[in-house]
Amino acid sequence: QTFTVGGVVRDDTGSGLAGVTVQLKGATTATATNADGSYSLTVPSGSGTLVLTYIGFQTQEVAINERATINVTLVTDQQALDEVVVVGYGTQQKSQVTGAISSIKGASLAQTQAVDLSTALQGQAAGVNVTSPTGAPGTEAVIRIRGIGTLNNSNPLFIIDGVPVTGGLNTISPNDIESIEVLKDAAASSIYGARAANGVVLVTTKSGKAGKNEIALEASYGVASPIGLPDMVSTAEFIELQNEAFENDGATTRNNDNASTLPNTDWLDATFRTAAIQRYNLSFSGGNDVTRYYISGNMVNQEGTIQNSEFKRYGLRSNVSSSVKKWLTVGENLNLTYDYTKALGASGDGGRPGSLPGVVRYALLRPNAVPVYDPASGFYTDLPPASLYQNPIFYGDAKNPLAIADYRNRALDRYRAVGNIYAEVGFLNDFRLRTYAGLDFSLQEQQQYNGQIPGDRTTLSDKDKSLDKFRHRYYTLNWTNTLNYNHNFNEAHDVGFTLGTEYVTFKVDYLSAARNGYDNRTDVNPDLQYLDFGLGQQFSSGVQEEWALMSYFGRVSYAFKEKYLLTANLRADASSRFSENNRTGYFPSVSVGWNLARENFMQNVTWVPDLKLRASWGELGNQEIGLYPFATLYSTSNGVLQPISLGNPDVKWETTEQTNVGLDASLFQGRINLSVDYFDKQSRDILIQLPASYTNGDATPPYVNGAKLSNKGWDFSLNYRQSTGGFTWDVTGNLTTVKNRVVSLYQSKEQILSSGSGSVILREGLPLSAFYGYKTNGLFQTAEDVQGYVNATGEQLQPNAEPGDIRFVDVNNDGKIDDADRTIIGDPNPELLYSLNGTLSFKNFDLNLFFNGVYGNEIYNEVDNIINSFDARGFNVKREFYEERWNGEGTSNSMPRATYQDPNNNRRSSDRYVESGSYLRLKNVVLGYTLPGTLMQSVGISRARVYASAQNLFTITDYGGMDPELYTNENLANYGDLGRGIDMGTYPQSRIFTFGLQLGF
Amino acid sequence: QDELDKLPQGKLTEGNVFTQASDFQLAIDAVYLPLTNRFRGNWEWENGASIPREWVIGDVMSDDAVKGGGGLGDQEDMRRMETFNIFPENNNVLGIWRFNYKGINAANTFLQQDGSNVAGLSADLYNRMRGEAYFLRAFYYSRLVVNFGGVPLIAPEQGKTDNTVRASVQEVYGQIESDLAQAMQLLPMNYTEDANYHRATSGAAHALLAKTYLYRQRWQDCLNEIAEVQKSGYMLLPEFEDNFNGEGEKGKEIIFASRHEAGLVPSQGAILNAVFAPQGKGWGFLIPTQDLVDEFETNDPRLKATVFMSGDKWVDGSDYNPAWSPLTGYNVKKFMSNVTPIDDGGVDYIYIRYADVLLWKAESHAQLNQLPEARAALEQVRARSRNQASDPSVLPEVTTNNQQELLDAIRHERRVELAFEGHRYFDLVRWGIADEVLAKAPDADPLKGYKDYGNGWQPSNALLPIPRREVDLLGLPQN
Repeated sequence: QTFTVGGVVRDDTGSGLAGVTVQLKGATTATATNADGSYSLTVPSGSGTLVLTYIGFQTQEVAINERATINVTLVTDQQALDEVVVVGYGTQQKSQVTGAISSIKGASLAQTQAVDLSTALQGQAAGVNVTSPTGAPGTEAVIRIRGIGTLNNSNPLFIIDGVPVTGGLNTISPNDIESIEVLKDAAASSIYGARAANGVVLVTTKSGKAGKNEIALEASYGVASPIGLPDMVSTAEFIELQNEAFENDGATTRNNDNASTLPNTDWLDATFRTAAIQRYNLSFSGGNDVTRYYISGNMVNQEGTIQNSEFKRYGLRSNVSSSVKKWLTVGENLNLTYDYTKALGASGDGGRPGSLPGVVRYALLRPNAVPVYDPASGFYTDLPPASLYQNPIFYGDAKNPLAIADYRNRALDRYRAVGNIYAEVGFLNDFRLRTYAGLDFSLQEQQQYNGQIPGDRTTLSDKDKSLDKFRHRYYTLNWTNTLNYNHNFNEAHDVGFTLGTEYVTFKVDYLSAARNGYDNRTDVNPDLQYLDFGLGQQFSSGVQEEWALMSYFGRVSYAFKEKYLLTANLRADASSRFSENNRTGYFPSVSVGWNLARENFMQNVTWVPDLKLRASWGELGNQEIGLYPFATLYSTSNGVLQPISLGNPDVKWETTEQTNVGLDASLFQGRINLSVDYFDKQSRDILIQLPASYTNGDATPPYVNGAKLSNKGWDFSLNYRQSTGGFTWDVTGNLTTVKNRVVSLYQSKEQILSSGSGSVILREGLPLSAFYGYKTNGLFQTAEDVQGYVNATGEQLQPNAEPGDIRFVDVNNDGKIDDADRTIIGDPNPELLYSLNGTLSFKNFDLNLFFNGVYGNEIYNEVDNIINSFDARGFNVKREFYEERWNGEGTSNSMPRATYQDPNNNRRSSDRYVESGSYLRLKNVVLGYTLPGTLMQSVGISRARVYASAQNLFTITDYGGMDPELYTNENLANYGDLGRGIDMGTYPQSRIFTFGLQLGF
Repeated sequence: QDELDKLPQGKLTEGNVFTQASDFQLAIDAVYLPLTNRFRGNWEWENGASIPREWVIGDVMSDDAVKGGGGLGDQEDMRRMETFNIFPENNNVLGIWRFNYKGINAANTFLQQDGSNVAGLSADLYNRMRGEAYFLRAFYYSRLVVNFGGVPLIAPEQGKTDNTVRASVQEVYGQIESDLAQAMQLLPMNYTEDANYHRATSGAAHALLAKTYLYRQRWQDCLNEIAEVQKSGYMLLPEFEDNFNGEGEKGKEIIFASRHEAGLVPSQGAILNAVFAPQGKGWGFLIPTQDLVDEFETNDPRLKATVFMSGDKWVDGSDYNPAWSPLTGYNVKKFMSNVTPIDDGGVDYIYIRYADVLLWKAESHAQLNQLPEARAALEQVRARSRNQASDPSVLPEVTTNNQQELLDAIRHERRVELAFEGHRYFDLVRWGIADEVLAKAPDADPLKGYKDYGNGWQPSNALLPIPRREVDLLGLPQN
């Protein structure tokens, strides 16, 4: 005689809990709940007791009492809910954390479908600004935490499983991530001392769970197409504009080509394609009380939306730990990757040494009248084929973007190993001594062949054809030792300390070789594109660079009855990057916290289970200022001896002082979680390079500690969770404000940097690198307007102007319009960053929507200076210009006339090219369906989910360029953050539709 | 702590540089480098790099040539120079500034070193090198003062380091004079070794000083210096074209030139070879005008040595096709050579040669109304070419007794003798006739403008604007 009992197990919000173990007490009879929380168990009699266990909930026992239906509500286990947070060199109970830390779950990163870790971080945490500089495959996103705190390298410190890594986050698969902690304030990050001024990102990769052996497989396939391509004029409209320009200039010349017999090539259409993205992940994980393992392999194959751009990655990970003795745990984390990038010029015009010409820029510049292929030879056209036109000069000399893509690309191979081994000894109950050695090793190779482009204007002799090969090998080694102590005295006093030492050393070795003298076979056959095949001159170069850091650090923490919290940190860093007198820096921080919810007077306020106030102060350093700023370096290349960079032996640390006040609250049974922080970051002694004026020759000028920057702002994070009637909601909104100011500059001297026609200025009191140029005030409509635009003494301010030209403003009121009238015309710094990430589950369906937005920044649309204007060089024109240009009194007050002569210099750097960079983008939407468990279990599959996602489905923006999400262009790459926001034509982001499958065994 | 002593590797630093004679040798060679038209590894036109722009201002901006190149848009900034639509951001302006200051800084780097106790560096050699550094610094400042007027005066060994103040024109000339006085003391009259033939001499120092007097219209001072130059025994080569085809590089006519050698690794050849070669073979810049060709007297043999034209042979011996130069049918011939690759030309680029000095002499005498002496100097230049033509009726001797007519004859002679050597535009400006020659009303037709020379010169063009980059970075007052 058996008895069957069944029912539904729910959590305290009412939604069904899947996977709850339902066991008959004292027997092996057991089952697990289904996806909707239902269970059914057959037991020997109706008199036993059921034991329900589930991670994160209190175990419950229910007597059956002959009932056939037993519905159970499990109560969350507060103790278990109090998550453990990874902090510098250790972990902390979340309730005891006094610093500003954002935690991100790995599942949330994987959900974004991003190929690389840096991109996946976009919108995941308040205070963290993530920007993809281009949409080219393999591009790493730029991450800025709480504004830009230096004129130098503002990258945060990335630490993966305790190993500090140098860039290359696209070698890490987001699927291998267990969690990410972003340390934002001084309290959280000062234990990383000299490297922490820009924030610290701690990455923890997945590890196996005891008793839970799993195989997980994920595969997805996506199709990408470019977004934001502008409309360009047709050949007929192009010719019409040219003839209008001649007429405006009073010239007799005309372009008499017959548009109907000429090509009408949509160059953007010809340049872009739809591209495929494939991703595969396979992992094995599990373990027992002694040993835990996680082993995975992953593969990504991403084509770019322009031919010859792609990114491939193959990765292997093995994380193993073993408690070999009761007092000893040893383990390792190891990630091996190989990746391959085929790169094109993604932004800029190729003007900077070593950069490739931007394919997209040339796709924008090339007029429709030029065919893709030369009708005679069948090759890509270069200069407009003379046979087609009466005068080919009218169609300019822009390069063929497809020829650049095919013949001027670059292959990068990278082999990388990131990992560590560790041992941890526990003794005297409360002490833990941990030692670990970490390695970040990278070998990168780059190859570029510069051969003959068939049909190109320039015929290369064999001697001119060259092959460049570049090899770059580096390692970072760290050896870290920590001693942890934690003890609770009298159930009231939690006392803990951490002491540690760390040695980090980095060495990079560059080797490059080039050869020329390749023949025609090499041009068409990649199998011959090797150094050995060149018969001409050989060039080689190589050099090595290194740095090292020796550090001592400590943390003490004290909590009284978990109510009053105090933590203090101190790190001493000695860095090789400074001369001996300035070598050591000290970076302290203190922080306090108050868990109000644990006070007696809050005990009756049951809807506030958690409420904590935090405050912190501390100082952080930045040592990313080049490796040898103290030394003057000379070069002897090319048969001459000359200084190449000037040193300053007095260079010392950059210091960032940060104050943070924050609040964490959990309301209504944890349904609402709120975190608010206000921060005030003051960076001083920022190394500023003396103006790189050519008046001082070409040697790089020395650095001096001379600038101060200020960043103040708010981080808000709000999470709402609710389960009702089978629906589960989980919505997180993040919002960040940063107000950035240049407080002071060395000798108060401003600096102006330019790229194309765009300029930015560093000036005291302004936000960092504001746009700089002329102010405009509409267009002259009539000759009287021009004549009437006079200064106080009646002199014409713009005597060369004609109706339809731009009226510039005499900003300084000195009666003339010249360079001194340039002024601040825009600000590339966003006022607000926000994101909204919401998941809705119903039965077996789940839907995730992820919005990301930026508000209040501006972009200098440099490429519009050419294509949204009339350019004498015969470059293409946007339809916007065609439709909105001035062509007679009253026709426009913003878009000037077409003119070859441009006597008014309409196209000088001005606010005409400054546009709002605000946007709201639906970054990702995912719809998933989990197949019913009963069906799958019969074939040995414990979990099966299919999903479809769409990335970048829509963008709401007023920006007229291709993509409001951009960083700095390649022309200004040397200036890093200072040159961002000048758009010279970027490889745009893609809209990607993906279908995927996840299986668990 | 030793673990933290990480010093630069593979690079010389203060600790180990200028400790041996070869460092001084390489450092003085660095001072010459900005004079050369060597390919410098990148094409940073935007930042004024790649090559010196002497020919842009000296010739493209004059009535001798138009820009050329691959079309209206090819080097748009050069077109703006040509049409005197010159803004401070023009990359040619920056280039002229940059190359000259690069040289000045290289000279300063050398002059700040003490070479008196360096093994293997004899006092004689060290002093000669110092002389070279002084000469070259003066040379670069003389380029700057002519183009920009007063500029920041940097001479650290004399305590002059402030780059934010523009010295007066007089102060710049004062520096040039004192540097040249040093150079005259320290430099030899000539060199015998092949490795050194291109180096500065005391004669070059006198010639440069003479030129600065000429530009300041100090005629007698100019003549006095020319007398010093002549003590070095310079003379005209029998064959005019040997100055420009490599034959006469070590000859008696060249007073100062930048050295180019073809076929070396790394390249020490002249990129100008490619810049001036017709489109397709090179880039076809600096296209001679019909106006210049018409300036040559009938059968003047210098014409064929100056431009490629119909009936000529191209450098490789094939027939020159005027269709290669669609604008005028001409290409520049001076300094061109037959090399592969084409940007590795081996011909030295002349800055001062004796014929130029003789014409300064003629001009100075004429200005002082010493007409016989003026005619004699002029005749020396004309006679060489007359003799080459082996036709006594070609280039008849100038016999006028009218001062203005003689000055005009000298101006004509300078134009044809020195075409494409970077002098014409400066001559027009200092003669005060730039407005007359170059100030024609701007041509409204862009295609014509592209073929035409000198649209719209105005007196404000007499000096170039200070590059915007330097104004922005240093706060220098604009011209």
